[in-house]
Amino acid sequence: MEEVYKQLASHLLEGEEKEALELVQQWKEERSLTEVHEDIITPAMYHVGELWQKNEITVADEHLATAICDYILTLLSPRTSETNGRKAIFFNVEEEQHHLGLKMAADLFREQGWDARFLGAGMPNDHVLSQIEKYQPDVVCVSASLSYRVPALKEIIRIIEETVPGSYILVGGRIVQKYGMKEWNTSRVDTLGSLAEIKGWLNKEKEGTFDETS
Amino acid sequence: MKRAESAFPLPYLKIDANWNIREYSKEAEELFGLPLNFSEVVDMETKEKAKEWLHPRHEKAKLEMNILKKDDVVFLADAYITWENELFAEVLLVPKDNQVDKVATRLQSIQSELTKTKIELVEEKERAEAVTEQNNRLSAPFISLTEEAALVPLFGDLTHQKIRSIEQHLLDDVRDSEADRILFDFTAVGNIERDGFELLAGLMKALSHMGLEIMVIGLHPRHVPNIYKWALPSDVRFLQSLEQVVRNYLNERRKLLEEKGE
Repeated sequence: MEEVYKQLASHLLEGEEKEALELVQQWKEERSLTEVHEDIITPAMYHVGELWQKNEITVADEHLATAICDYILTLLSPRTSETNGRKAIFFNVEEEQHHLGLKMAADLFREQGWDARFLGAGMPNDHVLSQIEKYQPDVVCVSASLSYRVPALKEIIRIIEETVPGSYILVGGRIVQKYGMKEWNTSRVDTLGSLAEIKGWLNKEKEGTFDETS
Repeated sequence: MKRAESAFPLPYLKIDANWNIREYSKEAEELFGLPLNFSEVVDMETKEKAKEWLHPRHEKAKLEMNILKKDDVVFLADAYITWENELFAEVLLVPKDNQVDKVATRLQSIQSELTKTKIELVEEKERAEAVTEQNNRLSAPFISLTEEAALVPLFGDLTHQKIRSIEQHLLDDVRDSEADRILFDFTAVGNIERDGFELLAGLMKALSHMGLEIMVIGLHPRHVPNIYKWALPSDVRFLQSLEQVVRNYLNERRKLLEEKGE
């Protein structure tokens, strides 16, 4: 496994999108999308981060790897017109650019039949709020990576709680993965630090654990 | 701590092994103000990397770092580090050409625009799908002709999606009515798709099992080969047109009246 994700990281860093895509598609033939996300793509991108820490690559290389990874995720994204009628919206905290994990999270929802709308990175708060108002999602998913986004993250959670009191808020990203942020959990807010935790949440939701919220 | 009279037009620092700043250049002062320790200007996300590389065990190093300006704005720089001995290091910072930043920001805004456009397209698609769905549902109205008979004219192409949309309301209408004969009128049908046809055949079979007599009228010659090939339930009767059905019905009524008269 280690060989494969390192191989993928090397394709991403070299800008070899065709090779990277072939590698991922080959793995997807025998595995679920979640396994591809968790076992290949995520470790490959962590590896890219480690290489920067080890002083072996530059931020410019990281940008290239991220752009190609984004492209691959778009191509892998499940597309079905039949949904279970539940809606979720995904966005990054204002100015946060790390969006790959969030994109994978949106695909997990899609795989379970949800209608998922990915707003991506760099959306100003007012645009996000107008989208939420229009789309009327059952679940709002927000992500942040860098630790100094904590105040902005708290602020947007507060705004969403006020403007769409009926919706469920899921908070993720590296901040949650690193610091847990369990103190933010309420009956309507859940912090989820990994794709596995999101999957767990989706399964519980399916079993009706959160029925009172819908 | 003293100001170095260096000739480099770049931020330069001399630090000790604990990163205390011993000397600094004018450019460094302009950029950071006067921090006492270099760690104060290293961005949180770069600290681990800096701890590893800004250490006497790497006598000479070049590393990319995120540095905080005095207004807390982060910028990317290459740091060239030389340890004079175990105790002191010279650090020269070369800010990265912000051209890269400009391009990255521009790309980001293009990406945001694309996302917005994509969302608008998705919304349009959803609107179009809702219109199609409504169109489909209206493509098979249930019209009661007499107490016993009802007419269901089908409109447009017979697709799987269309039959799926009409199936439920048709079954509901049949259940609520007293009709025991349903006339499916194909006069306004365009193309017949195989999976749409099979779903319709299944629906006719279900109605027939409910005890209803199913008749198909208004078939166009171009429909016939496919219908023959894919087959409707065996008890479905075919008549040429609604006119013929009405004529037959009137004849039956006349006969009945004549019999009563006799």
